[in-house]
Amino acid sequence: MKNKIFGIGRKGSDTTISIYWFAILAIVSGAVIYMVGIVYGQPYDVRDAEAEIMASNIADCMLQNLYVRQEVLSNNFQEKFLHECRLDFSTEEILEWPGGQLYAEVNIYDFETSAKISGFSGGNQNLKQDCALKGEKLSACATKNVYGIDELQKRYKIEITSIVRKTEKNAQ
Amino acid sequence: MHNKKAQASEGVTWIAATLSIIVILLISVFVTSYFASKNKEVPPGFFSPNINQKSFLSWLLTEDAEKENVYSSIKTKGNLDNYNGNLAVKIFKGMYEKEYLEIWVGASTLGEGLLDDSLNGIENEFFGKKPSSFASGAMGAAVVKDYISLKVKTDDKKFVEAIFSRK
Repeated sequence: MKNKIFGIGRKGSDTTISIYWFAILAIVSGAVIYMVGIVYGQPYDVRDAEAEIMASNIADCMLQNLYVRQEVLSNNFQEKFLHECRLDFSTEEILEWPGGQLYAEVNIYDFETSAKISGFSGGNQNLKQDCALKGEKLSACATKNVYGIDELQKRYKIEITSIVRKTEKNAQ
Repeated sequence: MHNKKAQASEGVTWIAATLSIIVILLISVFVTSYFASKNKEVPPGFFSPNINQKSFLSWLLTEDAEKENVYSSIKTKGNLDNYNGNLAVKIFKGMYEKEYLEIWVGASTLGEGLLDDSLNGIENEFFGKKPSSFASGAMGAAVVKDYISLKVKTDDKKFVEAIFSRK
């Protein structure tokens, strides 16, 4: 007696079921691999966080014992900026990035009059133009303001701009 | 005849099962891609408290014409006065208003009752009432807003507080 499924004999039906199960297994495996690929295939975009960390570290550097450092108010701090603030703008070269990937700029203003007192920067200043534009493949920019006073009670507004490019690694 | 019907119903069961598997997989793929695309960024503002804290502490250290700093003044008077209130508006609203949904600065007292560790803000003429950051009820409480809270103790149960609610 023949046990027919879809009009096929017992031997044929067993083969069909085996093929069916393999097909289902392949579909399920394919879907799982695809989902894992979606989750882990794209990189995390950490540039906003990196720019904020840089701004936060620069803010730490501008103030000492809660007061604005006197040396940052002089114009010759430009040469010492990266060294004094312990900023290392060298980046990995594996991706053959064009030019520097980081930029930081600090402008210090009189809090009362908004007159600029000093300003200094470091890194690739060509990245500044990305901040005026919008898009995922552009550099991440963070502009942070800090209110500070010096030991003589003079008040300042410290504007810190930090920019991180690293587009190839973070936004695919 | 019965055998044919049984075969047909068995076939329908297999087709339905196959379709169910495919539909479940498609939903899983859709949900995964939706959430994967949303969670690939570290939210901005995660490292802002350090910067806001510096401004807050500098404000507390700022002295008025009588050489009394903001911290001492609030500790003595129990709330913001004309000088430090206007300065707080200029600093916090002037520099951070674009970044945050709500900003409140003022004196607070440690709450008693359902939320032992909650701070009850004292209303002031510069920032108004403290925004409600907690939804509390008989079953407990839940934080309903993502915010940064900076506080410095002025007395046993009194604080100077600055709150920045994220957008």
